[in-house]
Amino acid sequence: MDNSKNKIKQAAVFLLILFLLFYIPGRIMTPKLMTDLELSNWRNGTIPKVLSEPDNSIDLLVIGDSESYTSIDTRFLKNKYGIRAYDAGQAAATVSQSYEILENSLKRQRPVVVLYETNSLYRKQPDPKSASAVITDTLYDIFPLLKYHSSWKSPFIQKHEQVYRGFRIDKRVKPYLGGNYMGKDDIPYKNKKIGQLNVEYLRKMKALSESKGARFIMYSAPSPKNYDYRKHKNLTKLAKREKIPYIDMNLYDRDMKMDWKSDTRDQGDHLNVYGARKATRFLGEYLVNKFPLIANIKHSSRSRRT
Amino acid sequence: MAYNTNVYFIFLILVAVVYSITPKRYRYVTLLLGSLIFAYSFSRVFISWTLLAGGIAWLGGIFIDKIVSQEKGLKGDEKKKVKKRAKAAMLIPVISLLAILIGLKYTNFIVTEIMKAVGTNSLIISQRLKSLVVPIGISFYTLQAISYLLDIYWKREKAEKNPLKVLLFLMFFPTLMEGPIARWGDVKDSLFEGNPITLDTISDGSIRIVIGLFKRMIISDRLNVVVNRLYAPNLQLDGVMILLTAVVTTVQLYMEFAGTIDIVIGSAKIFGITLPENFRQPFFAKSAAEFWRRWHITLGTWFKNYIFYPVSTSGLMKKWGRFGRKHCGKYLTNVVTSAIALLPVWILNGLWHGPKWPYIIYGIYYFIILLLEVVLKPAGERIHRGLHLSEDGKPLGIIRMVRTWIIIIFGEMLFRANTFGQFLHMMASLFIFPGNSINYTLNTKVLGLDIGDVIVAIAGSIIVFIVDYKLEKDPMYLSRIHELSRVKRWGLYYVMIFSIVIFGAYGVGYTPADLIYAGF
Repeated sequence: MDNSKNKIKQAAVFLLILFLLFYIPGRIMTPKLMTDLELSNWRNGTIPKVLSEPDNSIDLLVIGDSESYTSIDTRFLKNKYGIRAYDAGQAAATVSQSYEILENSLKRQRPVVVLYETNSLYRKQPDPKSASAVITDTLYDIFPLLKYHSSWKSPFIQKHEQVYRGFRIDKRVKPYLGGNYMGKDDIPYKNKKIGQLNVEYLRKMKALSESKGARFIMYSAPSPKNYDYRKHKNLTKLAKREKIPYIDMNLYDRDMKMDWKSDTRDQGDHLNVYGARKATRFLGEYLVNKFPLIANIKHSSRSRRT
Repeated sequence: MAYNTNVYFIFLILVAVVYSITPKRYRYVTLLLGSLIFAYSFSRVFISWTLLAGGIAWLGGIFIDKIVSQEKGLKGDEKKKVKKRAKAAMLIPVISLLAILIGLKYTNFIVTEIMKAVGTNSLIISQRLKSLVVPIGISFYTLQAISYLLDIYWKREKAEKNPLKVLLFLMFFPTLMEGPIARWGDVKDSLFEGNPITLDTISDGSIRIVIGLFKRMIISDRLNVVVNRLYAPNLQLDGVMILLTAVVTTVQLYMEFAGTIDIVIGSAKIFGITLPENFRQPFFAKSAAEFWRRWHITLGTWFKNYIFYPVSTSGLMKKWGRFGRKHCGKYLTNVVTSAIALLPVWILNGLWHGPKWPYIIYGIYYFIILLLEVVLKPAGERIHRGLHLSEDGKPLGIIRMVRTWIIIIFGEMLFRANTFGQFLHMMASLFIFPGNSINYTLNTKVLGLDIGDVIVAIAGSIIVFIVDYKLEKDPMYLSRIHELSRVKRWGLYYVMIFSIVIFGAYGVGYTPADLIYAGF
């Protein structure tokens, strides 16, 4: 009897130590500390990075997948318009991950505009109500160590670019030679459907942004690899139905003077810094001319600077 | 609810709790209910096929047993008659089980190949075939059911009267998806005993599960990214990359399968149930034949017991043996006997893995290799004598081990290839030197991994290799953990668990490897 009591005691102590080993690091490693220690370079480091920004320091928040942080040049917006933009995209993000980033960002920031890059709408969204997702989320809440466990990789990640407020300043050039990709007769991609769960998250992002006083706008970054005319039509229809302003920059690559031989870093998947500058100039003008709210940021920022 | 998901572990805990509060004599019913829920979560309504197989095995077993027991005391024609009836009683359920397996799993392949051969392409037939859904674990439980029936027929086992026990034997949830393929005699004592869950069983089972998670989450799930990229259609690889592909595929497959089996055996241990081992340091094998006695052991044992032995000891083979030894000599008789007995084993082994040409050719590949080992054995021994190499010496052992590795890694590459054409293309590219592959290899990002991932995958594999080496020297090596002081033992547990949590390839940026054998 004593022996079994002793064993139970030992097991309890073992589990308690195990619990503390998982629990304590999650409480010590605040987003600020993680960012200061440069442990946020892994894919899911976006939330700690945004959370470590000073309060109310973002006017324009960009979310989405890698198409977002390679297409909006935050330096350019700051220098040309005085807009304090932040690229809070995450590589290969699903819509629910973008929602989570938005939710966390809006805890400390009051952006005037939230720009959502649409590529992740075509990414498969696992059901957040599935047993697996619920268990994972619960564990992540109790033990943030599990969620950010890959942070150890940060020192190993090869950096090809510098980062300014989330924007990747990538100067690599790998041309896209495929020609026009937005023709109406082009062979469509296999998967053109946007899942219902993705649409639900889009609605949630819009509602959340508006509840915090931000205008929610959809945009598609120029990318021959990810967009075509069929997608454009689908997205336009979706944006109209959901009453979300939408601009597809793929339709204006000539207006932007996009040169696909020199403005992409990986054969038309992502823009490099040269392409991003052109895209940002175009989008900046569009936003400033179309949305008085943004024009106001421009003026207030300028007056702040002067 | 696959074995590498969090849902499985919650399910395992729930079943363990209900099992503990169930009276001892009904605990097997709790396990069966858990297994039915587990199977239903994958197969849904198609679980009815699994139940049907259970019913066939149970009834078939009782009939066979009844007829076989009539043999006692009989002689001459009477005995022959009963034997004939027993054979029929055995063949009916065995053929029924095989018919279900072939009908559900192979019809699509067979009809498609026939349609290809005659040059027709019926969309309606293709659609109908695609709608055939295979219940989870069919290849595993069908083999178990056949072994159960044959063991009764050969009087090795008595038939079980309780259908629930037969069903649990076929469906026990930890083994349903990837085996090991247990024989009735292996598990009957512990499976239905209702052994209590104690701190010792929890501790032993959990350690085994942690070892499995280490192999899966740190190595296999990490390499899964690379393997998927390396087998992408239209990817042009040259010599160095092909070799890398072959090695990475082998390591990933081993860690996936052996890791899952560790989780399976550990899960069963928690309930005090002992399952047969499925791996025994396969990379220390010195021949392909030995490799198959160390890799997927229970499948190899099944084929040995239920195909190889029956064929090689059949009346026809005995006649050939007598004739051959008289007219052709011992060597040739032995080679022909091996060829005839090995051919069905390896064709069926390939087919068992699935209706895909690479699997079938994988079976033929090992048939040729194993036959060559038999054919070349005397010549090899002569060469070794000429070179003064001792058969049991270390140098020859190392040469044989390296030769076996080469056989294994190309076999696994064939096994993993999407099509046989892709494998042939890769083999042809093996001799292309040296394109851009060096840059490609070093540019780990192209392979979907960071340098950190590469370091962890290599370090993890080295740790597993060292443990395998220790196990090779001392099979009781892991059980010696209990002999360590508490501080050391707990320290080891914490390091293992913490390594999995920190270095495991899960969450953002990783896709866990599918349970490869669950698809068979």
